[in-house]
Amino acid sequence: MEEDLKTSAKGQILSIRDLPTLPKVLEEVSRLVQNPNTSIEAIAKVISRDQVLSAKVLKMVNSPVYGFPGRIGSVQHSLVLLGFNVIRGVIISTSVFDIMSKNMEGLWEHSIGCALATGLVARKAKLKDPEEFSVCGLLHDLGKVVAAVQLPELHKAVGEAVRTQDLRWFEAEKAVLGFGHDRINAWLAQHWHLPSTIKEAMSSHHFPERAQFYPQHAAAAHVGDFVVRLFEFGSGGDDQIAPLSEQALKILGLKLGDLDEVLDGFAENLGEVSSVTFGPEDDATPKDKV
Amino acid sequence: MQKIPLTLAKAGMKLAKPITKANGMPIIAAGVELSDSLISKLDGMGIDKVFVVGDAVAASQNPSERVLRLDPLFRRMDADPFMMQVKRHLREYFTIKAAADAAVAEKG
Repeated sequence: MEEDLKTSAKGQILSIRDLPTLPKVLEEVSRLVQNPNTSIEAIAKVISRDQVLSAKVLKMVNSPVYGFPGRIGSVQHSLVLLGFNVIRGVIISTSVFDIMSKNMEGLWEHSIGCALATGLVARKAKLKDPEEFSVCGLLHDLGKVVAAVQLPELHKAVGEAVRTQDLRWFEAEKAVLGFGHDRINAWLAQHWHLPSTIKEAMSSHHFPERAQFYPQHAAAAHVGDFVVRLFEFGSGGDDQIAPLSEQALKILGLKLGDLDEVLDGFAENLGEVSSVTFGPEDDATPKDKV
Repeated sequence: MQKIPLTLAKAGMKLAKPITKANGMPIIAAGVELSDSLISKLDGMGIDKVFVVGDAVAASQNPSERVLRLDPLFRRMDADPFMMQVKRHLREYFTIKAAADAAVAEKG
């Protein structure tokens, strides 16, 4: 019976009609990437055809979340510096920006804050390709917004349970839906063919010690989530902290005191990161054009 | 102290670091209070980021506010010894930050 509910909910969640529409460009690019002979130039050309999307990508990659603030001038340059996995994550997140800000207030800020924090954690732990970790943070709560859109009544009931029973969002999801956004994340990542590293971070950020293949990605997103909750920048639906896994710090080779530097970097860059939004009133073109 | 884009700067905020030209030459000293006319002048000079004191943009970044928020944020963690250790560590971290901010503000 319970499995039935899960199966039907999964079907409903993945009924693509109302899923955030990813730009057509992304599909085309994903196909191109499968051919090892495709050049970066060719991929950049396809993305650059969509000018609005390109401007959004450039705004994102030039924020301090990634390692090159204000220094990336073209889509091609961003692909060379950050790689396709990162750019794909950035495209997905900018595509859901509207839906996110409409359906769950504070979730965008929570997500981009988590991207900043997760990247800082990865740098502190001296992990390779910290930008990819940032994307893990960026997408870690995507399942929440998809649930909000596809299962609006249940989403409301989850919010109600959080308020009246002092549950955390994740606990309330399990009480109301029978599963959490971590499961939805796994379905989505599969559906969108995201790389396994990002998929595992999305599906295991609440229990990084259970991650099977990429515990570091899951652990970094877990600690990033803790940091953004601590600063209460935006909200993933909670007004309380979630338990920090001691094991996550061990997986990353970090001690509690190592977090100080992460917190320093987070507080210092938050102001700038908070200006990365894509509302109609926001100027999506680089500032120097004005 | 926090680095913010000039677009978020407001009159009344206080500079935590001097503003310098690209070659390092200081234009405006730390501690100076921003005014609308100063902000538009900085904009005209092509300055797009400034360091300001305290909680100008959001309570998120204000360490004294963070200290106050620890109890409500950790309200369900009392039975978890590791989380209590984490909380003690964070209280110390934010308390020291708050004291440092206060010292900078006074100097200005």
